[in-house]
Amino acid sequence: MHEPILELSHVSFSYGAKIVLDDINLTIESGDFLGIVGPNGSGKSTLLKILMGLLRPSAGTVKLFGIERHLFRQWTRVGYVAQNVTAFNHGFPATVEEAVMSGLTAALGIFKRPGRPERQMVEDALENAGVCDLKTRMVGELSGGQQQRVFIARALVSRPQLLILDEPTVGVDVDAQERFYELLTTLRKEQGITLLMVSHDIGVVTEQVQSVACLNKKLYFHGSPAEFWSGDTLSRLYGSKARVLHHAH
Amino acid sequence: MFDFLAYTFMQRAFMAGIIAAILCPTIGVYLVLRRLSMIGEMFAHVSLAGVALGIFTGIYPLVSALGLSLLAAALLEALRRTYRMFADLAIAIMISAGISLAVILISLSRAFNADLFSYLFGSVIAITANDLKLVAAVGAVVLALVILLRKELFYIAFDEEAARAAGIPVDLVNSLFVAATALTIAVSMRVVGILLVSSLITVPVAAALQVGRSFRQTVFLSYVYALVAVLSGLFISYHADLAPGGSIVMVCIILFVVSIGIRKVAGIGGRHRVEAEFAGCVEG
Repeated sequence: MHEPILELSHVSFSYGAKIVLDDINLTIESGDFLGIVGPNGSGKSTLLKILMGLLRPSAGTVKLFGIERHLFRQWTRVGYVAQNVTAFNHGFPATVEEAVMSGLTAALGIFKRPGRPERQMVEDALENAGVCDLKTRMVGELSGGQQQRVFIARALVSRPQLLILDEPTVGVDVDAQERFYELLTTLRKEQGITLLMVSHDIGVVTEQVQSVACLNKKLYFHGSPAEFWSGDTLSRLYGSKARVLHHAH
Repeated sequence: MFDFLAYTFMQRAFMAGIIAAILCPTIGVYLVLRRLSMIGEMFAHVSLAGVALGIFTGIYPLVSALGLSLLAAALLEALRRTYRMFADLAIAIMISAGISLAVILISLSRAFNADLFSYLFGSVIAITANDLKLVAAVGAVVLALVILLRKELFYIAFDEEAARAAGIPVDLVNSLFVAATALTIAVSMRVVGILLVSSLITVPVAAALQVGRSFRQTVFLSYVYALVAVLSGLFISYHADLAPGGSIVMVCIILFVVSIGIRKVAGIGGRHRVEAEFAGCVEG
């Protein structure tokens, strides 16, 4: 029996009178790879912000590892790669090593300085993300795909059990995207990391994930990619004329 | 050539100058990278109001400047939280409040005199033993605070949203940092002058950004630049009988131009990086 990593029950959120999320129920179990898809403005990013504790839901409860979100303090168990990571200040003079080390800030606390064990954790994260050779390079000088891997390394450095990725392939070329999905598969299979990815790219996502959740204010579907394609979810989500263009790669 | 170091007032000027040269880039590197350089300008204006308040009421001006700066830091945080979308407006309002209060108090106390000018442009002879003690004590507190929070400050400057999501107490760290900035400006203005103190915060960092190949290296270089500027600026100001603020900041500007030259010759960094940095410096 897999333990639930994340449980949302009856979660709603509104900005003033505008309802963004309406009665969402969703559970992610250990070892799962869940893709959350939905059109622009469907509340995907808001849902992630709630999961990350950046917003509090208007109603309902969110539990991470069985603990209510607002009481959750085990920061190192969750890694987060924000949307559009490649849009950061490219003039920032941080090396890859310095950027990845910053992912240990919360784990170290105020008074502790990084020492040998932390440097080893950085090495491991760089190796896992396949960017060992870039350690001393400046993050701002790397390609989009390389930067994305650096930010994944930063999310992995505290050895999380759950990795949350918000539109991770935006600004990354197709070749790099393919290698990126290979990396995610390795992380899940070899290290048992549970993955939650938000994307608007339904075609690609459903090829990669184990389960799909379709969001557009409400949760329209949660199940396997095969069930997703056999049902009428797509037309209910986007309207009857929706078509998916499959990328040739 | 260095006989001036025998004078007690010059020793004090150099000591206070070295403290300012360490504090300003310590704070400046985070301000510049977060594109908040205008906060330096804001606290300089508030410090001027503080000095004017001191002259008007008879309170020791450095103390009133420190007090008013801390009050402004608290007000700024409150304004920024109320008007989240207009953080720059909060800074502009505080600049206006500071300068208008300063003008009123200076006019009321008929204080357009040499004493005021020493605060505006910096001074090598006006730094008293009490000034130096206060500068050293406040400097030690600021330095200890920033060293303690440097991991958190780096994370927030690099990626505030990720820092927040990782459980870093971002609002608390920001408030402490703004207070540290207020104190840095108030104690550094004695040497460099109110009009030029924010330049010592930003220009050495801007120069270091041109050639630094890591965050650690950039911080180190900004210290080197600030120290070279302050020491040579004080030396020039003594021999040419100039107010020190101008010569110190002019050396900073020369170092900045030289750094751009070094960068071009050495071919450091890509085009996009240069553009991003300039955007950061100009906006801030």
